[in-house]
Amino acid sequence: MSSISEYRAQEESITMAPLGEQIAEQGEEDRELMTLNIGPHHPATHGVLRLLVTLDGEVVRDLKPIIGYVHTGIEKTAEDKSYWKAIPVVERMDYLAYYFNAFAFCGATETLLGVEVPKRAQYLRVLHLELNRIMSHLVWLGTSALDLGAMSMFWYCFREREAVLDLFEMSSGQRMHTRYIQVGGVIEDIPAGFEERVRAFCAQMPTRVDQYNDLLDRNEIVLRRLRHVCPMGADELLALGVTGPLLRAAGNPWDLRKAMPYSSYEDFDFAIPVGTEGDNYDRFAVRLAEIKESVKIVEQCLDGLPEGPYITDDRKVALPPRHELATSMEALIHHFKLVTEGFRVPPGEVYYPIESPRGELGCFVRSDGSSKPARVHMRDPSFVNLQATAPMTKDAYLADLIATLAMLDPVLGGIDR
Amino acid sequence: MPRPEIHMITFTVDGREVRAPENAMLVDAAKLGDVEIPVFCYEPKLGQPVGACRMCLVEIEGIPKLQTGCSTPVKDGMVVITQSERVKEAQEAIVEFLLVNHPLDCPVCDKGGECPLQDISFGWGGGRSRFIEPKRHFEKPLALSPLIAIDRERCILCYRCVRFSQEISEDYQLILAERSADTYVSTFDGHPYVAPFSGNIIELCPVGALTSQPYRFRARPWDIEGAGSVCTLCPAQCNVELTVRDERVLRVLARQHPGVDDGWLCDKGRFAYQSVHVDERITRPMVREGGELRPVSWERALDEAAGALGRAGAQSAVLAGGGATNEEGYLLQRLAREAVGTPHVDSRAGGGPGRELAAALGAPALQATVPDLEHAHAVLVLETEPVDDMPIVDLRIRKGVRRNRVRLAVATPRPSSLDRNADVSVRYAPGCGEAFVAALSAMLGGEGKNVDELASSAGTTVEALRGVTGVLRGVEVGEGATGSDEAGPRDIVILWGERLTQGRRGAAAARGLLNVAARLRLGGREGAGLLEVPVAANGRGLREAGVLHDAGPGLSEPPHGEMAAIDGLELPDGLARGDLTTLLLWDAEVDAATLAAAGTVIAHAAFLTDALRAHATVVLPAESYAEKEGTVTHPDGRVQRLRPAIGRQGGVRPGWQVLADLMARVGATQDPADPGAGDPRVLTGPMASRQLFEAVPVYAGLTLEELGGRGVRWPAREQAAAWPRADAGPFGLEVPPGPVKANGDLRLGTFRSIWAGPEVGHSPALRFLVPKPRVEMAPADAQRRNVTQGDHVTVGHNGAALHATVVLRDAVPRGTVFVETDALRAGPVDVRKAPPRAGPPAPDPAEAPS
Amino acid sequence: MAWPPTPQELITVSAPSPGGAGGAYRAFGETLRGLKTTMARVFEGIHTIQYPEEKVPVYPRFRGRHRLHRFEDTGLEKCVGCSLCAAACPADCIRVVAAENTPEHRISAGERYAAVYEINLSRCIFCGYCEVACPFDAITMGQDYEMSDYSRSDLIFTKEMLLAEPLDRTPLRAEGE
Repeated sequence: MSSISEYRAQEESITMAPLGEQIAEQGEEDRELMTLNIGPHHPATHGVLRLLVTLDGEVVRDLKPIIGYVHTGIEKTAEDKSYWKAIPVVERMDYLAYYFNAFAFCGATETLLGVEVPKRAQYLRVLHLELNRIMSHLVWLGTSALDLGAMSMFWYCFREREAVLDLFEMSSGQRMHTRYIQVGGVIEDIPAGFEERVRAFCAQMPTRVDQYNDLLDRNEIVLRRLRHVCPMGADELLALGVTGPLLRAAGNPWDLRKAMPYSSYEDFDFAIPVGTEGDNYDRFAVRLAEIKESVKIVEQCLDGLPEGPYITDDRKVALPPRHELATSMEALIHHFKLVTEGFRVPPGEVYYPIESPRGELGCFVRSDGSSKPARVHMRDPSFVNLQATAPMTKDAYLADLIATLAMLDPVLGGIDR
Repeated sequence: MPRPEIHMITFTVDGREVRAPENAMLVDAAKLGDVEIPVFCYEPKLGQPVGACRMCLVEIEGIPKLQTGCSTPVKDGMVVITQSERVKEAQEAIVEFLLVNHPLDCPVCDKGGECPLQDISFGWGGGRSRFIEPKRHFEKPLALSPLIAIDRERCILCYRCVRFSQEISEDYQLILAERSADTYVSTFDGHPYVAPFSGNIIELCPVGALTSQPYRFRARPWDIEGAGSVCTLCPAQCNVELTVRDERVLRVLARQHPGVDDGWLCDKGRFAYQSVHVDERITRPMVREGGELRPVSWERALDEAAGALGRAGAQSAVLAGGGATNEEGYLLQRLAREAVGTPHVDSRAGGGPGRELAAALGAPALQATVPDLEHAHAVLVLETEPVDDMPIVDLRIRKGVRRNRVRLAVATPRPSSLDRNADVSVRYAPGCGEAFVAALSAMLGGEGKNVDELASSAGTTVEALRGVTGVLRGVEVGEGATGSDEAGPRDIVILWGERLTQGRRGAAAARGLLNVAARLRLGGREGAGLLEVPVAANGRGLREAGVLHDAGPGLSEPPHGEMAAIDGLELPDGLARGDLTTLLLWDAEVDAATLAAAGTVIAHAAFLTDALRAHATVVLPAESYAEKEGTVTHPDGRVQRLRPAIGRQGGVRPGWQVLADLMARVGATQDPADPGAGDPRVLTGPMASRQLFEAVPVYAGLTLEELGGRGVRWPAREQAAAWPRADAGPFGLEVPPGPVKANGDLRLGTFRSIWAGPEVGHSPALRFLVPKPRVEMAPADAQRRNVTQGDHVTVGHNGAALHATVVLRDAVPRGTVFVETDALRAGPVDVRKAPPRAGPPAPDPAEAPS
Repeated sequence: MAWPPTPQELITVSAPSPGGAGGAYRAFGETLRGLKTTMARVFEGIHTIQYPEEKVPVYPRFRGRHRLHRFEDTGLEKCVGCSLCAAACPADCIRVVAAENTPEHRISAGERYAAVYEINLSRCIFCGYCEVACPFDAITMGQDYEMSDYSRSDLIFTKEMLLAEPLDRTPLRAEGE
């Protein structure tokens, strides 16, 4: 009881009194600040985000994001599961970047274990990660355009998103939260026919991006809503810890795929889209350009997909092949132990950062030598990026706040975890 | 032999300097340096290692071949390597070898998930199989006994079970039959392996070859929770871990405690958990209505009980027994003395010595501990059969004799299962324990002229007594032991049964026992002393909680002063005379005749006996030990904590709560003006414990946290000084009455087998062990009466008689018969062939365990 | 790959400022271009599906509602009640209580069988670990994705329900579809 009321007290203590006094000092007693509550259930907050906005007329003077409405305790839950079983759990944090969540966690675990991931598995991972990035950007574009009033963009984006989800369903059996990435590799090789479908998608996707551009890129309304709106410089963004497309829109080309390549990203040839001003338009354009780059990476993955195993052959980590279960005692015992107790991870701790659609997604794992992680923490980019909302939108119009929030692309599942 | 001194040495394992006791086995020593060496066959509890499985191979500098870590004692400066390629290769080879013939049973095997073979294969094995040939096959699944299933295909021939049977329980039933790849575990004669401790091999087995029949396929390790508690089915109070799934106890495992059970359990403790969940259990209060017991609400039952007690006042008596906790005992005597206002409280249905002598016998300085049994110079087993009365102690005595060359003397009326291990075993006439201890005391005191007379009145011989004193004094048997103790005092433990001091002459027997202890100078000597085997599981705790007719908590002066209190022994007479009208039985059993004599019987019990069904007025459902919360006291003074493993079944309420409710109700009826009268101020189990610890001086300052999972021996605490001082002798002994003259009749001795008790009878798995009434007699006596093995006979005297089957035992002294009964008192009996009965033939008595 | 990236590795996005003469042009020109784009989509055909009359077919790997299997020849259950699926389940939604087969009453091929096998589908996260864990292919994820019901207790599927041949509600994607 007490903790709830404490939280309520904290919530209610948020006042804009100093601002009011300031205005009063300026001799404008007749002007009054208004506190407006937006969310947590509001279509423009892209999830259960709650904003306490202090308005001076139509101008945002201050803003307080309130989070925690979808806190699920996933990090804590993961401590109670063996590493294997924690994968589908951590996947559900940022629900638009499930491959990334799973990969960050598996990458951290593999680092602790010292397991070598086969090249084919690395490529398959990149293939799915980039498809996931496209999918995530499509959801962002569709919902953001909707916020700006572009209804048909929503349908177009979700049409392409469905195509990606179909690919996920085909390769891993599920459209979301696929648990495709496993410690040591991926759970299954891609099925026959998958490559053609991905190629067909890759052939079509750049055209689709061009069509989006036709609709939006030079549209005067879009430009008026986005260009020069709520800009923020790279230094200030870095000071706030903001990464990903937001930082690149401000001209800093920081991209972990190039800066600290993982999972064979060094093998692929792709460009980093950067902006110049760091305004909402750059944020929008950088992401659209990234979709095209991702398509290039996916195609290169398919071109260069090496033959070989799709998961490590370390029997102490990966499940033995199913056909051996009927004949080999060793395989049966290892299967049994891996499924029930799971592999043990040597004591130690690791931070494994990757470039998610929203920026640096880092997974911290500490192991105490048992088969369950002693601590799992995700540095979710949405959470950090959300900090930039208030400084970005200070003294902007309320309508621009909505646009800025859309261009920030927060995913509340990742923020609240 | 006294405990050996421990030298610490330093050795190196995997580059780490480790301090370890010299001559500890490498496997154990390496653990001190956090290095784990995998083992299958090694189990320190089983004694000397055999090195059968070769899993523990390690490299030792200076020795060219790999050595077995389980059988190599560690020496100063030894350098051990467990991580080299050679060791790894050897380990992988052994695992592969063990798995060659192992069936692919993990999914169906009960051991799966808690299987050392799985763990070691996963941790140290290679992970790939090269073996594609057909595997060895045996018939499976088979029952090794009704309690144990055996799967010979899974066996890795580690010898653990065989070693247990041969060297620990010494029942010599299990062997390895055949040779090489065809070897299998079996009983030597092909009969089922039925023995009091057979269940331990289930826990010992490192694979799924030996599994529990009652637990078969009941749960998986990830379905269950372990709950540590203490078994209160006998005075041994072994530490157990109850396996719980979906609020049901499914299994009992040993929770190793060197001070109590050494990690073993008897089959009663291991399998009688089944009685917790049977339909026969009483789970609702009942009240007699229209001649029949009917389920009623708790309020109604408590009102009835409180009303009856309140009306009867000083005419009510309270008898506690069984596994009642200290808290229940304490509240029970408060209920009787404070609320009901009656002094007639007791926990000893057979009576016993008074407060002074009880204090002298229980004096902290005179108490031996259970581990003392295995390190003493000599052990005297007196008037008790450990395997029946306190089973786990039987294993401890065997361990001492086998490993530490403890000299053992057994003095009992009935032939003992320890006779084979004893240096001397002496028989005396049943019921003549007093005379025997008097004779022993005289012998030790050098009172030569009395010895003859006393020995004959005990029904034994001077020679036999000389043998016992010889063992105790450390003189070779037959070397003409005298009474002198020139060699000085020695570590001697006397394990004596409470039966010795029961009955009307119990006080005299207690004095004799104290004399023996004084003559052997056991008082205040570390590693020596007396160790009682109480009749009730928590006999000691109940006495210390004040459930005695002449003593309050901590054996203090009773609050009612000199008011004459009727003890458990006089209870039937008191009821018959009409001095008592109302009887509250708390987990205690009395015979039907006594119950019939009482006007009102309030019984707190888990099962309805025929006697209760016929005579009880109010029946309150009792908790099983798996549901109980509280403390019990081990016979060596260790206060142990019971923790509830499961929720109470049905409408069962905690004992402390029932007693507190009764107290409040009785108090309220006694003083209607004050509704709060009699409120015991007990709202939770821990509150009851705190009250107990405050009331019993020697428990002062104990907390449940301090007791934890291991318990605390109060005689070793400072507060033990608060124990009442008592004269510990030597006493002048009166000459006891002579043995019952047989006059052509036979002398009757009674005993109570390990398989007696409602928990065994109500556990489906154990029911086959419930003893059939049998009379043990010497072949010569049988011949004279023209009966033979398996005959149906009546055993009786003074009109009372019971039917039994004859079992001939050579070891039974002539002129004596032994019957497992509480119904007959010691005395002359006649054994006659029963008239042939119509109906099915009698069951074969030969299968009765000895 | 060197860091920082070379200019060739960067794409710089840019756009004109809104308003002005360009703005005036764009208000017409770009809007018309956008309208042309949307109009062209009319000829691409319909992308929506008339659910529930028309159902989305699933891929062979799709993980829908679980199914338990029997041996086709003997009719015995494949499941031996080993509980590995319950151990593997991250959502703890499977409950297995095993029992022993007797010669007269044989349910499964092994020594034991599942006397109780329940899946709480309201807790299931459809990760398919049960299928992975099962050493006998006794449990597989089927293709049924229509599982909504009116009460939670109806979502606890018993062994009989899981063994039963499911209603053919959701189609499997044909080869090349």
